Amino acid sequence: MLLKLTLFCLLLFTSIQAKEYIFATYPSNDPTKITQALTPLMEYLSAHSNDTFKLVVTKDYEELTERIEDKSVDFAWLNTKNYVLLKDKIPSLRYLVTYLENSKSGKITPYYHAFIVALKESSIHSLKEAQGKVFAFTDKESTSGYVYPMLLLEEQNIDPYTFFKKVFFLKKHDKVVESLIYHSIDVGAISDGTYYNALEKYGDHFVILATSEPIPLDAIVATKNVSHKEAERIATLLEKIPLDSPSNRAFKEYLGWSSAGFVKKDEHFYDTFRKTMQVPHQ
Amino acid sequence: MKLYNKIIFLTIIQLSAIFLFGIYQMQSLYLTQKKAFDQNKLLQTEMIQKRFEEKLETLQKTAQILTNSQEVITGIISNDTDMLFNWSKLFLSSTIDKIHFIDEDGMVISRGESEFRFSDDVSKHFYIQQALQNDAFLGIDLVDGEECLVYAKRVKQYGAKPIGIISVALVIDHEFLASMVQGTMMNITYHSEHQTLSTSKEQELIDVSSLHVMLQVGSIKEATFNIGFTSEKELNALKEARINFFIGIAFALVILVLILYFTLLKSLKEYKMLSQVLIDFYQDRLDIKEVITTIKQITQERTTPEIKKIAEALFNMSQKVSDTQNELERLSSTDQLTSLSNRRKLEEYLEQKIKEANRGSFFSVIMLDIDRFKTINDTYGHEIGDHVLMHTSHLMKETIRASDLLGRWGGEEFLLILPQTDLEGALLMAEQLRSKIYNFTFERYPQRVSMSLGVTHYHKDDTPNSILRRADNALYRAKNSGRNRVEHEN
Repeated sequence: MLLKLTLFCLLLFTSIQAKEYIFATYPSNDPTKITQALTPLMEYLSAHSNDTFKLVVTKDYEELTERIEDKSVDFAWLNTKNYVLLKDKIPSLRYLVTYLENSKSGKITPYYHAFIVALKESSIHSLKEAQGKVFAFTDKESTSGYVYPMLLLEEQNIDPYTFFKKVFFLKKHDKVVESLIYHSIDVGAISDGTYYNALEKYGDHFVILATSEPIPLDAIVATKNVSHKEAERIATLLEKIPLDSPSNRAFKEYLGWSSAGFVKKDEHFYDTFRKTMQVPHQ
Repeated sequence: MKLYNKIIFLTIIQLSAIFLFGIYQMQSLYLTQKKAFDQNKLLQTEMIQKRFEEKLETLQKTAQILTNSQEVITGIISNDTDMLFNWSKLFLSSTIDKIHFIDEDGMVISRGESEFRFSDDVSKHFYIQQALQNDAFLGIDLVDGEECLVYAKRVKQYGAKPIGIISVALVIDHEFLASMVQGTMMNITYHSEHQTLSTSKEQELIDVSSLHVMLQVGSIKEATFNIGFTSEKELNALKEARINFFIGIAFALVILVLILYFTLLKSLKEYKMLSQVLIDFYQDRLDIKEVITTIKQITQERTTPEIKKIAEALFNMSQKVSDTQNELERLSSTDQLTSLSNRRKLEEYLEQKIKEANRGSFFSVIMLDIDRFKTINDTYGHEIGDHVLMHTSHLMKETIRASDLLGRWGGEEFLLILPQTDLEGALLMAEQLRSKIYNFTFERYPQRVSMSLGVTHYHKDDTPNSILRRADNALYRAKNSGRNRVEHEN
């Protein structure tokens, strides 16, 4: 009897302690695909933390920023650029882990690259040859779809707005690839993950005109709502995600990402990115 | 004119009058329907016209909304293909097939209907040039190789600085044409230098009118919309109903006349049969009894009430004629005083019996005479004489057989013809008669009355005179032998 009472009290205590966390991200890809890809991760966290994790996909980066500021989210998945910008803006933002990718070279790495690509059939084999052609970025908030490609262009003293005939913003990496295939654009900036997916989908029809230096992968952060102890507990859970977990499989299935889980770095891991902040936004 | 022809003639006149009235009514109905049909057509034409104008309005309104959107303007300035695509998706519908965002150089920034197709140069298109020149264009032009109703509008930042063009288009195809005439009886065709489209499989439209389209002159030449009927189905149905009605009436007229003809023929045939009976009667081909039999037969066989009634009347009349004839017959062959057959009747009967006897039959004859009847008359008067004659006749009548014929031969003399009776039988009958009379007591005559009787029977090759002579001779002998006795031929 005493044992039963103790168990009941323990259960009751646990129930009272259980929290509901809002895990937010913004649509770097099709929102439906993002939801499908992240749902298993939410299920993993809910199952192993005894808390409830609810996924929110905001309309855009601005909304995500606003929601972190007004503390209506607890955790957030941010790309590198947004993390750096937000950390400067909201110092209380607590870094938890960095996304790990199982790269095409077989290495598990917390970095990725940005590519500027064209179709092989277009006879454009270098950036110089792309002069007067139609170019597409993804989004000005995109690290691999805008920031690093802009650095690559700057390194070659290319102002895209004058060098190219026209510069479009297509929001999504996949759309850059599709537009290349449709010959709506001649050159486009995408992440290496998108590039490798395109190779699988369309075959070796693309030529890489420029490759960026390694870009730290996306970060998961906790807002001020979450205690230091809780943040550490969740970070540990994220680090422990097995390679063959449903979460990693969902990333592959819906976003084409070869996910290898998460790794905890220190905050200076993203300092290398800060120099890109000089990239003009127009 | 014969009754038969009169009836047929009058009936045809009446039916023709009904027929003409029917034609008049049908024609009136047809004209009323035709009028309604024309009004309906007018309404439907106006409805199609209105639909067309609504489609143009939808194009213009959509373009107007998009040009007023600050986000769209920002999207055009920043070449934000994705955002413009998302905006255009909201407006694409069954009445808008294409939304294009185009920069000032004529390059497509985004296509609502095709996410990944953009950056092509459309500056050479007529509608783009017109929009750049006049700020707007509403007309028919080729958009991405398809003939469209297109509205292109210049987009201006802050209402002043031109930054691009928005074109909203509706493809002119079968679906578009079908939506124009949906729910109507009409069809529409579109004809241009490139193509001819129609909602009808028929080559030609009937009662064609052009759609009044307030469009700018475009690059497409001879672009016209025509509306009309492929077939005047409703009106044709009415025409068909009218023809069917006329045929039906004509058919009914013929049938009715034929029915009348045969009905009259049947009735008149029965009348003719009756009249033929009467003709046969007065031309002596039938006697009254045959007339009665024939009419009775007609009455039983024919069911026509009128004929039956006439036949019954004729039957009764014939019966009456027959009765009268019988009475006259009876009167002409009967003695008034004694009610016995008269001499004429006796002679006819005797001749008949001789004829029968010639074929193997036989008979006897008794001649009777009241003895000293002249004395009775002279003594007691003729009244008593008649009294004696009547009672004597009555007594004799009671005595003879039904098959025998007794008649007054003349004065106080009688003749009795006995069929199938030989001489012996006749003598027996004669004796009975003599005895009965002699022994009878008259009421008003106090004395006995006796009779003398002469009996004979038929001999081969007898004539009336020969047999009567033999009977008379026998009577004579009876008289001469003392009277009140029976004598027969030797």
